[in-house]
Amino acid sequence: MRSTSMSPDSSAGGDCVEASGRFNDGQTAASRRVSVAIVGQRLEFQEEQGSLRWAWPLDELRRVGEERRGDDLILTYVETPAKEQLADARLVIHDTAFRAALLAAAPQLSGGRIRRRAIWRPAALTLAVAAGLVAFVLFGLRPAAQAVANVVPVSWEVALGDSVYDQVLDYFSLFGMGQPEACIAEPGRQALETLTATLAEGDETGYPYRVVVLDDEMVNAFALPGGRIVLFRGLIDFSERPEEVAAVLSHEMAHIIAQHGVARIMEQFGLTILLDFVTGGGGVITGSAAVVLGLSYSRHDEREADSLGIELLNRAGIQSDGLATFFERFSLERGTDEGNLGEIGTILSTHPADWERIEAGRAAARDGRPAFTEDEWAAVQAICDETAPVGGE
Amino acid sequence: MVDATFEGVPPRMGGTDVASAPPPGPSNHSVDYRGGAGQVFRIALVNSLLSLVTLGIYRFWARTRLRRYFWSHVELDGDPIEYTGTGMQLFLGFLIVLAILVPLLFGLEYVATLFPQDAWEQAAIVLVQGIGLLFLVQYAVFRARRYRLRHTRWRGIRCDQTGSGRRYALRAFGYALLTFVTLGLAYPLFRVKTQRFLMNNTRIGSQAFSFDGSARPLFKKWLLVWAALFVGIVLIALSADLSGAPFGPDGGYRGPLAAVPGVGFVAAIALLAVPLLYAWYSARELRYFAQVTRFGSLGFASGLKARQVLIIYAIYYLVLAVVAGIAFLVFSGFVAGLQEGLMASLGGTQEEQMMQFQGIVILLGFVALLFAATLVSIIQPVLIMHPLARRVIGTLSLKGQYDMDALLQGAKTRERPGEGLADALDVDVAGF
Ligand SMILES: [Zn+2]
Repeated sequence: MRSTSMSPDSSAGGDCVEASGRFNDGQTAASRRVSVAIVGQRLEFQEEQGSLRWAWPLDELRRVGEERRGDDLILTYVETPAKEQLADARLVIHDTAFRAALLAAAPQLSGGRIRRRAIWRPAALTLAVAAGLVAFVLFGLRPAAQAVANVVPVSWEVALGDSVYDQVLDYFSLFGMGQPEACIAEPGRQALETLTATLAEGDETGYPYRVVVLDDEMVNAFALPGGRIVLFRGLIDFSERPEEVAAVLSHEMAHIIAQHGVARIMEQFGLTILLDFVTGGGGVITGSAAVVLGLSYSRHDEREADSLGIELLNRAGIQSDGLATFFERFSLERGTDEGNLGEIGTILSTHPADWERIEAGRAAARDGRPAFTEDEWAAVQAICDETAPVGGE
Repeated sequence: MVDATFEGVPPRMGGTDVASAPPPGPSNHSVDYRGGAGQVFRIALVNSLLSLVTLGIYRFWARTRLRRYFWSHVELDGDPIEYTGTGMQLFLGFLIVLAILVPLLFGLEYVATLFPQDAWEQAAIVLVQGIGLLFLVQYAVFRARRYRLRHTRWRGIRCDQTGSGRRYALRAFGYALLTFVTLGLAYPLFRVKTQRFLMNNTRIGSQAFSFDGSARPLFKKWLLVWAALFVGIVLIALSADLSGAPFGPDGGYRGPLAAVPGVGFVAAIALLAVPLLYAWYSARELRYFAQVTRFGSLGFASGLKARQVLIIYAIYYLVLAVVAGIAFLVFSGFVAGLQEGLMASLGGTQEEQMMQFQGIVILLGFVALLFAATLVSIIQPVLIMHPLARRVIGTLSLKGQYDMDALLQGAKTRERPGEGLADALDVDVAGF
């Protein structure tokens, strides 16, 4: 024990433990050898060769290098505006016994405690942020995307729909199905156009509807943002009554009016960007997450399109029981149908034909006039007698 | 106090090995790395699991903790360097970049759909985006390095990186473009010029490093790497035979050397040699950079060998392949069992079953990807960062003497969020 009279009340802190250490004053990189002692509630140290001495209150000590293994202890001063320079100083003590004594007197210096705090506080924070994010993706993203979709101009929706249309046609070629031709028999087109115009009267959004029938046996139809509707010949062949084609057509128009496509694209784009940046992971991970989430959203859109579509028919005074009968037969016969149904449908708008939908369709149906005259219906059924490459229609 | 022999020696120009050799004589200075693989593994494990359950948001604190570990086990003259950055600063830096980038990306997407583009215009847009990205990456590298240096201390003395990030980015971008235009030939020039800017602006307290290298001694070595790559690619192109392939132009492509035996073999050998030669080049480059870097009166020397680096990467990829292989077997077995067992138990039509099955497979694929990402984030610190630090620092020695009384505290810089751009662009400096 050094015999210097560092503190008159050294007995207050119990045994006076001491060790030697290295001190950097934070002004230069030079190291001084110092002898260190815990005196009461203070850590006192002084140069071994020289006369400078320091006394730091224990509760204002801070430990650095807490991830360091070994039994040295690197201390500095808690940073405050008044004692900024002290926070640059470093005191290194390499003495197991002294370290134990100091940790007992100043428990905030325990490396384990510092490390645990450095893990669990941010872990709790980030877990909360992640939970908030998940909640937003599940409940907030859809309304947010819908809100954005509501303010985009119609012209943009049209441009978007056209570009997606081109991609869809490419998609056909990609899957080796060959690009189908458009059905262009004039009387049939005329009939579809008349029906579309009649239905559009009940809707004030004013989308420029463009209906095209593609010569393919797929029993499917889809709508794209901005007014494009694609029906496949298979769907017309499958329909037994004009009202069934009308029901599908009004359902697709409803998708456009409710801006499901735009909202969906916004949603996927937002989700991809959000997850991509937040997770910091590659696009593959977020891409598949977007697909999984995208699949689960489609059912809501379908129900909404069903009821809005039937409403359009009702407003136009057209018999609106087509949806129920169409899906009833569809779901009964589909098991034996060709398996490639809705390759595109799966991607763009899934049409799960469950009984709930059929029931809802039946409940909302009203009596009315037929969707087509006899002649018109015959013309629609024969629309694919004349075909042309897509784009020339 | 400063050894008189070395005081006031003007920086000698020229890139030859002799002129910039460090001063001779023993040094009483040392640099060591004292980290342990087991501890790195424990930290990486906790980090990865927390990052997994927080959708990756924990990564800023994970990075910070690893840095704190690595930094505090690098000792200069027996005293560790210290990392003072915080996870919160990195997180805020990320949020700031997010707040700028996301509306920007939405805006760009919006504008892009307003103007339909043909294939050429799309290619032009991709090119412009690529060029913009190349510039941004350089800027991000500088800013990230600055954040790290400004949060590094030794004996309480602050490190710093001076210089303008924009000027650095512009310069680095120019040399990167030159490298691109010369098909990679100018790469050593890019390396030397960027290293010069960075090192000359790197400080510990009052003392700046100085870098006096030139690209000339590196060119010959780089030419070997480049030639192997070039020969490999050209021979592949000349000997390729795609005449039976279902895609491509009519009749398929058939190289003029397709019929010559052994050309493909030579090409494969050349391409396989590229990573080995690149490791050799990188080790030599590091040795040269050490040789031409000074810290006042201190010089550096590195004895890093290419095989030391190669072994590290070989082990890493071997472990990765083994674990990924086992995981793949388990995964595909699981999917096969699922297809048989689950399809039968699922209700609904065949098509609905198919769709549900697809959904489950997509979900499983998602899980597999998460597993892979987590695996990499666990073993990368243990098998790359730790051994690399051990080798690079272990082979580094200091030459000459430095008077630590004359190394003064540096200027204090304002605390601010950092590295957001680097995070968004996935810019990484050797994983640290
Ligand atoms: Zn629908």
